[in-house]
Amino acid sequence: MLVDRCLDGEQAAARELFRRQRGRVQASLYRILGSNRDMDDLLQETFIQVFRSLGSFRGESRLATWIDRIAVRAAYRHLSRSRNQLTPVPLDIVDASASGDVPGVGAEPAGRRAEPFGQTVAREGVRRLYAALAQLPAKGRIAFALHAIDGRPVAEVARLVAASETATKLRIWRARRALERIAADDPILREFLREDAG
Amino acid sequence: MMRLGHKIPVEPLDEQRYQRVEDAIVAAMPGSSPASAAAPGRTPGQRWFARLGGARWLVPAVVAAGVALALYAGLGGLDAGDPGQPLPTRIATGDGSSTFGLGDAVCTAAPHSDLTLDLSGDSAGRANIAWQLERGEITCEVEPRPERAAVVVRAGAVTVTVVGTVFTVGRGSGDSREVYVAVSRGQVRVDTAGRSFEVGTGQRWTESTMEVTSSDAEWAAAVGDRAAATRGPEAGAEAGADSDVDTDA
Repeated sequence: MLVDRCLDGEQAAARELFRRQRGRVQASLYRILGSNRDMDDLLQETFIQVFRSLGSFRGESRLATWIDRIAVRAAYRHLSRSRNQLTPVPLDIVDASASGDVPGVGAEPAGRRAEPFGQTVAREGVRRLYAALAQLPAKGRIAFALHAIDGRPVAEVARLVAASETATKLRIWRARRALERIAADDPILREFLREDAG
Repeated sequence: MMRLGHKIPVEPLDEQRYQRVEDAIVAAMPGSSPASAAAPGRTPGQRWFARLGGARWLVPAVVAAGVALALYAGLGGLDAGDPGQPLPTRIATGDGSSTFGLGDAVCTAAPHSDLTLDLSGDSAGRANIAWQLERGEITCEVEPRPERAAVVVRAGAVTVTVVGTVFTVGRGSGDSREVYVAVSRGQVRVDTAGRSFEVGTGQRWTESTMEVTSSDAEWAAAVGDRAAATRGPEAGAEAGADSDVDTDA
């Protein structure tokens, strides 16, 4: 078992585990934060915690879920720390040529042809979405991002953020309401948030 | 419920950054030396370097600093200095786009765009914030600036003067190199061939028709298709390396 080898202090096993999980964790963190600016530190913080706590992993949940929970806590600490700092503008969010470890990540959705005008508008929509998310409390932002952007069911989000499903639904609902209020004065964001847009 | 995941492609981390993180994690694993656990793999200087994205960002950052400095003079209403000494700065995007904050303006250069910032002084001795668009597309959001030098985008024989608006100027790289302008908010003035056009919110202008009409989604898509068609497959190779610029002047 890979976990057992890691617990034995085998560095090759630790590298293997990191390489298997890194793409998925990075994608989730990216969807929460909207950029890779602090990704190195966040991944480092997450996986250092993973290896330090691996002895307490009892196999009651999937390893991936357990790691995701640690990553979400790291994201929460990061957002709480940077709450009063300048919000970074995400750069190069759309890179149609890129390919990542995760299927579909970094590539245009299948069947969509790259269109400069459309891409530009979409990119501006993404930028405004994350600027708006930056105004929300960290808990609400994370719950919303995990559900509406990362596509996780509410029950899974609740497990990741260690809250009840009711509380999680409320956070997501409040975040959505706040975004809609911001979008009311921002036609580009409003268009981006439309169900059929994109 | 809002579903936004399909609209937000994830930018992958490059292998070099992953490798640095991996090395740092392994060094900090239980059983490693106390020194490496306390300072996981990177010195404070290296951590700062990583925060900035590593060497991949360094060259564009230097370019950005030049752009920011130049635009600080222009956007802030400072004297342009000697108008006879323009400060050209080139931004060429590859397959990715580039978004950069410049004073109170935020601009995005679309993939495969090539543009140059030219700060040659205007007749009043103030800086002209002029983008020369050779190819591709630039979208800018500019705050109203009645008392300051205008932001200008030139594309071939077309000059777009911005007062305070969100707008897009595009130019193909094929034979026609047709220029188009779309305004999301505010108003711009388009000057070409001795004629002047005012393009307002929700309106578009194209070089081939020389007409201002209402924007619609179909037109936007058509412009995108035409620009892609005129760009040609070789355009990406010409465009050079991605330029990712993030500055706040």
